[in-house]
Amino acid sequence: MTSWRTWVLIIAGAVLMWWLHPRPGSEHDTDGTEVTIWFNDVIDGRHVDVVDAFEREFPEYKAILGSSASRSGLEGEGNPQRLMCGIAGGVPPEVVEYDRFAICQWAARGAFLDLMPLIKKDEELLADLRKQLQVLVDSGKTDSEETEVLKDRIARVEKYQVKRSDYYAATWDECSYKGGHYGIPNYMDDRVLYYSDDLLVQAGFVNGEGTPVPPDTWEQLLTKKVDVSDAEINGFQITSAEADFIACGVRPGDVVARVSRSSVTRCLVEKVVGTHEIIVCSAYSHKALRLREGPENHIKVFDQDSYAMRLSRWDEEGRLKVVGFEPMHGNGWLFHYGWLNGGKFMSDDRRTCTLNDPAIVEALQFTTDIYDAMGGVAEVNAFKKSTQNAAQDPFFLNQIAMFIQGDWFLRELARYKRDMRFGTHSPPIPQARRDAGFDSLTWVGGFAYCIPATCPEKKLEAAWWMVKYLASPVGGMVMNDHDAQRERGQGRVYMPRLKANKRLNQLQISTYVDVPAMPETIRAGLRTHIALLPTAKYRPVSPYGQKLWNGQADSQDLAWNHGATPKQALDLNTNKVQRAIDKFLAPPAGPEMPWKYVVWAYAGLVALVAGICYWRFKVNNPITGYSGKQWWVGIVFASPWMLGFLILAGGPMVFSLVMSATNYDVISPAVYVGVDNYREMYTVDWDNVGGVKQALSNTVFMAIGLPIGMAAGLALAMLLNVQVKGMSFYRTTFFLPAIMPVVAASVLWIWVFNAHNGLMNWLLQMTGIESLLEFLGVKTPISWLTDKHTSKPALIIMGLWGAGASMIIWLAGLKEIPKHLYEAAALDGASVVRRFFIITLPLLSPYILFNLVMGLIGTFQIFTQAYIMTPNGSPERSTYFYVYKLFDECFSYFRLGYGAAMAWVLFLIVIVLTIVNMVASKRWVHYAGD
Amino acid sequence: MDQPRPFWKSGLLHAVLIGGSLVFALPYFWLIGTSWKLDKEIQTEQISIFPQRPIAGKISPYVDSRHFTGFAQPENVARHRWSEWMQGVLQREISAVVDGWLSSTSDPRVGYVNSPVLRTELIEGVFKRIRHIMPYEAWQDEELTFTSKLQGLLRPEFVSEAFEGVYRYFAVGKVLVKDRNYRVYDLTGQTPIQDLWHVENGRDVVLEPRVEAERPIGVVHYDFSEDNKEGNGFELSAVFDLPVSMSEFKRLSLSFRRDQSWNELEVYMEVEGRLLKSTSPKYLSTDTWWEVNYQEPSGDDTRLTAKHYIVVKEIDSGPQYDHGNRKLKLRVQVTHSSTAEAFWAKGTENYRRAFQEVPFWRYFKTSVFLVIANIVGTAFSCSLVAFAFARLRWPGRDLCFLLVLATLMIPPQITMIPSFIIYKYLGWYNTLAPLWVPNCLAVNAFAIFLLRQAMKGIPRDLEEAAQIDGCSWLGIYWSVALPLMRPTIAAVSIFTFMFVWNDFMSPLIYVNDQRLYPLALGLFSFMAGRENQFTLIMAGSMIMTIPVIITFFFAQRHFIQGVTMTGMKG
Repeated sequence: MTSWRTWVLIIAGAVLMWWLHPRPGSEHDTDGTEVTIWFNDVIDGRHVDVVDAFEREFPEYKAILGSSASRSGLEGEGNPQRLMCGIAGGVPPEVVEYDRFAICQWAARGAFLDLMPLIKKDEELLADLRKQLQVLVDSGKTDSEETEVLKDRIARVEKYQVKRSDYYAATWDECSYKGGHYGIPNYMDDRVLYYSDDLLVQAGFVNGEGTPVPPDTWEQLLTKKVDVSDAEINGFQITSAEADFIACGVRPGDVVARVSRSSVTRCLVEKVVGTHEIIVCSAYSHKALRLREGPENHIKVFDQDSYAMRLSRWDEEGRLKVVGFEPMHGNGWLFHYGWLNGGKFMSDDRRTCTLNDPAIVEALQFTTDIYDAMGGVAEVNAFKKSTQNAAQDPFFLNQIAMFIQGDWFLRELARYKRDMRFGTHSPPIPQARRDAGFDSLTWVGGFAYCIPATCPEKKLEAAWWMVKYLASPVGGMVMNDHDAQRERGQGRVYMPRLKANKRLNQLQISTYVDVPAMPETIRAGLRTHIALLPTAKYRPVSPYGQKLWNGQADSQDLAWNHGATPKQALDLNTNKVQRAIDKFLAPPAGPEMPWKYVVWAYAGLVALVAGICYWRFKVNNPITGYSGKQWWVGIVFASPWMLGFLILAGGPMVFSLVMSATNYDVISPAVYVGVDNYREMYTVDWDNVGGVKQALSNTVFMAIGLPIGMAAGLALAMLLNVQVKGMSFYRTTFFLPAIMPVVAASVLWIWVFNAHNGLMNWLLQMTGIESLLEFLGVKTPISWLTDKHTSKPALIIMGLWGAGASMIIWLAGLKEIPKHLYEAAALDGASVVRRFFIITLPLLSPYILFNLVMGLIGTFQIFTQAYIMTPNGSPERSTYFYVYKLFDECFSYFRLGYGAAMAWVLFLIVIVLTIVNMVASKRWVHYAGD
Repeated sequence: MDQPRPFWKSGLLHAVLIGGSLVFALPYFWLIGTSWKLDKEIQTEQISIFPQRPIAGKISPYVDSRHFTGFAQPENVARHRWSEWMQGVLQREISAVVDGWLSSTSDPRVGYVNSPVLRTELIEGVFKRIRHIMPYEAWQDEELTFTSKLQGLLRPEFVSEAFEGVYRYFAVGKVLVKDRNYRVYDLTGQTPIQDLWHVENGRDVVLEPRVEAERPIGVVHYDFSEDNKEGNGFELSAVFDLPVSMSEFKRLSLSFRRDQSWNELEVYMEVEGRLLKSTSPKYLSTDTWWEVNYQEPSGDDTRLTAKHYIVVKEIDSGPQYDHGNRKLKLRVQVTHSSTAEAFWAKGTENYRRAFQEVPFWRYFKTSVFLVIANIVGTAFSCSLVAFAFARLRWPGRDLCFLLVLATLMIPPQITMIPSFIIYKYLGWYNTLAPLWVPNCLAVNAFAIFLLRQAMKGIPRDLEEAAQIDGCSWLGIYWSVALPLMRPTIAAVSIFTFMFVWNDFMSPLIYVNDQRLYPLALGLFSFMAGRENQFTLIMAGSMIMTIPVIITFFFAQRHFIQGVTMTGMKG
């Protein structure tokens, strides 16, 4: 190989690589103050256009468009890893577009600049300029050049001046924290009730002219007549001493839900026998009613004429066909229901979490009742997953009659379903609130432009101009126009998103919405959205906003699945949030981490370890023997790794180890707290919903998949190792699932696992396993991803399908086995099975060890699948794995110290298991070279 | 295994292989199928696995006979009721309304396309509407009650709405110009269409002026059915006054109504003595208004991004293309597509968009660079290090090996920030270095471990024989260990390839400049920017996957080669 050919090859390779390497060159020839901006989304044409337009308007500045600030879009929302890295690494942008809800988390930690002084400065500047102008005018120089210049300057400052009065109050206030103002709002969204005209007409919810009438109150939506937990169930007969069925107005046809921890059984009232007794019948003609006597005798009776009930439909087998009102679909959250009921999530001084406010408990009770009335949240989720062929909204297909959704849905309607007959209405509120004179309300979210506190003084003016330009109607319309062209370029009508700037909002409505091409239904929808804005709420501005958000989402999940009563669920999460608040308000005091010494300590440690190793080696192998003489050869061979490890891998590891002993949020300096983080793991954060124990046990459960996956991979490899024509083709097809892009794969798996017409259940049915399961008392069809018992097995099955990856390793191992061994064994008359056990397995043992160790490491770090397929570890945190929790602690709650502690505990667990494996492997792994 | 396999055995084997292949490849059929669909086929009640067949249209305007689908029995109606009388009643009542509307309407468009097909489609359309608004209980009513309820619901508006759904036509609409300051000018306004556009080179082609959405539009009536193959098409032309000079001119937007005929559309611009032509043809693929943006590349486009416009390039120049100062002549050419062309156009629609909107080759080059650098780097550095761990004795070997494994055991999420800081200090931020240099320094513990396991399996006598021949350790590594490691190195390379090719998280964090993006991040940006445009996402995924499939197909040959070599030397 050392011929001239090698050299030609190397040179050709180098030339090829040089040609392939991209050469960015300089962006512009102009010099000027450079301002870097990171938008929240991935870079798109509208960003390029607006940045270009900014440079045209302000030639003295040069705009650099960086990648998006957070990883959003197809894979999860608002993942701030990039901005955190930028800030920690000292290369943050000068302007960043960020989620308003999250701004406070950064501002409270001092990461964003208070913009109020800049706004004030502009006001002063303007006043000053006007005064100068007045002086000039008074002195009679009205037409002089000086006056013109001054007038131009005033006009320019005025054009982009940020005025609070231009913005909807809620969007402005959401960026304020403790007297400071940290962002200029751009996008805004709010939520209203959407309803399908056709479905309301079908169900007869119409006025005299046949126009559909949406519900105004919660009671119209769903009236609960009875809710008792002392019911006695005897076949079809339900008796309760507590309930007075006659007084409550129960009549034949009303819906009865029998609620227990594991399931909700839905049936209908057939006859009211007496004050305390009713007879029930099956709600579905083809399905017999099975009411088991059990310890949980909680029943609820709902009025059959409520909107949610009359609009919902089931087929004869009891599968949901149409959902009347889906509290969670779209953008319905406990936040909204709580506010509608007059609840308050946090005290005014932001020191106390009031998630368990009685009004919020009531709100959660209400949404829980809605799910129960429809047969339980699992049933509804199964339905949703089955219709939501990812791009298809069930509302488009008239499968959801009513739901709460944000204004971006109007854009979807304008894109895909302009002929949809739908209406919008302010969200229903409880009758009692209405009687007390309260109106319905909505809440807003959105984005804002911020300036990181790290922005150097000399760039501040440029950054501020950019923020003002982007937030102004001028900049906004440049972006709008780009998007409008793109949408129309695909034959669609452009529907802009709501903007926080009232002037911009007005302008875009007159340009894009009040045009003949826009259907009247969509225009009316926008009017509903806008009408609610003046009184809109916004999520409490607090440094632990994410924690509160997750708290309300967890409470919903827990209560709907009857893991706890609404009150219990909210109490639990209130405590969790309160703990975070207390921790933030009274941060652990301690010395700052002296990073410089850490570096020296690291170097010292490396030297020490190296010394010890050398000494031990010398003791054990006196430098005389053959291998002893050449001990340095090994070092030379391993030197690439040593270099890479010492700089690139070891450093971060030591850093994270040190970090685990600190309270660190990237933005403020790390404070030494000793073993507090570790202690917290097994004390307060050990045994609760989403706690360490749950995360760890979820993760350990996944280890079941390890041997199965290894066996599957090996079987596949053996199958693909035979010599058959077209084996290249077969190998490639078996390998296909392993290379499917994540984005496509997640969509695919949701389809495979959907309860009603998914591939998985179809297979079970075909093979007859379903009837076996039914015989064993498992509820079929299985709603894989939405049932907490099957969500983890579903992920394991998903992993098996990708066995093609481990197959490659097995295949490589199989190919290393000398063929003559098999031939010899065959001559000795060994059967195929025996040959497998005496030749294949022992010779594969190095690979078995490899797959075992790697599989173990991989299992304990399982994250991506859950992050994409089952956001927030739903349902009921059953797929909230250890690393998922670690990720949340680091990047949602800014607790990198705690995350590092978790990482090192994980490290300890895994390394102990690995060492056990490696030591034990000496007994069963056979190396030909030993 | 020299004697041939018995027939039943090989049959069974093939059955298992084919069956398995089908199961494992099934999702790919779905992925490909979806990438051949249009938005319209996704946002529908009856989703079909197979993409819809495109029909090359010859006559326009026409009635789309596939828009509404027949009289389907509602799920909640008993079969006998449906067949005995309900279907008949519906047919009778709806026909009456449709016939009444057809005879009374004054809409000239109905006259162009009036035919039995139109009547059937309208009846189906009205039925669909009735199904959506009929009270749920009414389906269970007796014949008389049902009939009267039905009559109460039926309205002539339903027929005209159904007509809007099935009427397909090709039309030209407004023309907009955007200047470099992002100001937009309307070139057409309320000018009557016949004063702007003229038909050229078209037989029996008529331009019909109409007003739609308060703007004048020109509907083009054409009929290609009698033409022979040559010159199947027509051309429209118009001359506009430009509001800005050509140096300030950025983008031109033309509005068309597509007639779902899959005919090809090309645009020529003649201005100041130059002839510009669009670089990629467009097809009349669906049935909506559509604005096509054309832009000439310029020095301003230094920022790479997904383009939502079509690039126009100068193809000719000469005095015949000069129509006066600030005058722009537009020529719109529509050419008939054959059935094969229509299939091709539909099958490539989403792919063409991905290629056109993403600077594909640039990103592709970067990805290839990264893949090669990583594979070569990993293969050499990791095999070298693995050799040291497997075959050599040196101080601290076992501890170091544990450290190799240890790097895998710390979740990457936690080391991301410190790593970023280190790369930044090395001056690697916003360069490609963090994406490949580490792998040349053997940080891939997975590969080291796998190669070590494999190298431990090399028989000692091979190594000793080489030593006796006077081979140095480097020589043993190069000429004994490496050749034997071929299958394993192939496996490692495949993993490296897959990982590097699909990784978009690290580029997103380390690279700020889009011109350094690899394909994964470029396509991810493209897909993420298009929210839930499912068909495009599938096309993008397909583009990402194909190189991996091809590479794997060829790389796995090395597994087979491994056999003979080990067999001989072992």
